[in-house]
Amino acid sequence: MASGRALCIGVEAESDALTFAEIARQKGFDSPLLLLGENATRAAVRGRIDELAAVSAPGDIALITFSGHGGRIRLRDRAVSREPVGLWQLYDGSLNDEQLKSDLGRFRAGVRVLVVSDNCSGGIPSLQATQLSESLSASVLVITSCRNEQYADGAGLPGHFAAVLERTWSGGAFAGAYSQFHAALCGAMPDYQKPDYYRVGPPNDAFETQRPFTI
Amino acid sequence: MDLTHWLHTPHVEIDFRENYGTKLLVGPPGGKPRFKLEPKYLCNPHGEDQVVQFRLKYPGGCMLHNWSELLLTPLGTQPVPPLPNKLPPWGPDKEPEYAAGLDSLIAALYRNDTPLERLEAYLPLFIDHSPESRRQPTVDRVRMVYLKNAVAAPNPNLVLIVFSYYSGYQIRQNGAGSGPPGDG
Repeated sequence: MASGRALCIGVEAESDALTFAEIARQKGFDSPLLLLGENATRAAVRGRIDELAAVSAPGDIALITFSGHGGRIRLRDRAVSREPVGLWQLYDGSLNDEQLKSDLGRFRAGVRVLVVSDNCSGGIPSLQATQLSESLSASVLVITSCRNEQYADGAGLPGHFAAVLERTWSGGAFAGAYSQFHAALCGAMPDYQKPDYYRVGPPNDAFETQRPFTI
Repeated sequence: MDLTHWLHTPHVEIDFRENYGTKLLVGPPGGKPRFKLEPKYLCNPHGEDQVVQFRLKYPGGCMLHNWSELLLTPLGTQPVPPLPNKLPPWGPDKEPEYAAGLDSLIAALYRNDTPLERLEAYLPLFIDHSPESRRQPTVDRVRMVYLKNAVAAPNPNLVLIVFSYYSGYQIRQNGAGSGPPGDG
């Protein structure tokens, strides 16, 4: 029987992380692990992802959510002419697209990984094709609160993603697959902030056609 | 807080910009953004003039209009920690080194409750985000710190500017820039 494990990260957006953790709890994920504020350091986040990867067996699902600042950064080992990559701003520094892809690379084939990236400037892991994304064994579905170069609204504003996602999911009553969930999210979000949805890593049709957050 | 370095080298020229910094720290065509910090004095109860804030001044076009007369207040109780390693002299090809070298300090300055000694101000702006945001001003929190001996260059000092965009009651976007201070 498949197991579901969740890691919900929040830096200066802790209430949104709690919203995602509550969704995970309602869906039967094992005690969602919260990393909030000063506990959401780079080492802690990468360590917990590593642990998730180690205990997840083929057929299991791992949910990773991030709520907080987002941005883009040029990497040290890349030519300046290359495009910057996305990042999550953790408590003590940033976790960039390539570092997250490297961490996700530890999940075994057959594991389903769902990442909800609730931050400005698009999500990570990105669709950007790199050696790291091609070496992923697990199928990773990514839902973002906005696209690259867009801002993500804060609480109380029309594009407040966590609130829209919670309403759309409707306590588990949403009956469609991930692509339909994405379409519904887009319909509920303002024109200036549209969520994105894509897959990184190998395809897993069964995963993509499941209802969101299914274990 | 010791303000003497801001007083002795009040001119700042921005080299490195990232994220929101590429939109907010804008200079004249072909030129770098630059400004000067002018002290504002208040007479203390001992009858002495004391620096309490700094006004941001710049020649026309060297910064966006909304930076004009920005009033920066010294805040914080903990000295800014030195960088673990000195940064190389600035060059466009050194952008990744600057981003990586300043990463932890930028993260510390994003935090609402940072105790680091800094100059802080609130920058009004209109953002091209929604019909409402084009009419209703938002604010960015601007924080500026002075890093002594941070660069392996003849002028080893560096000013780091970090700002965050407020949306609702959360901070949702990051930006930063840095450049050398000078006596002008």
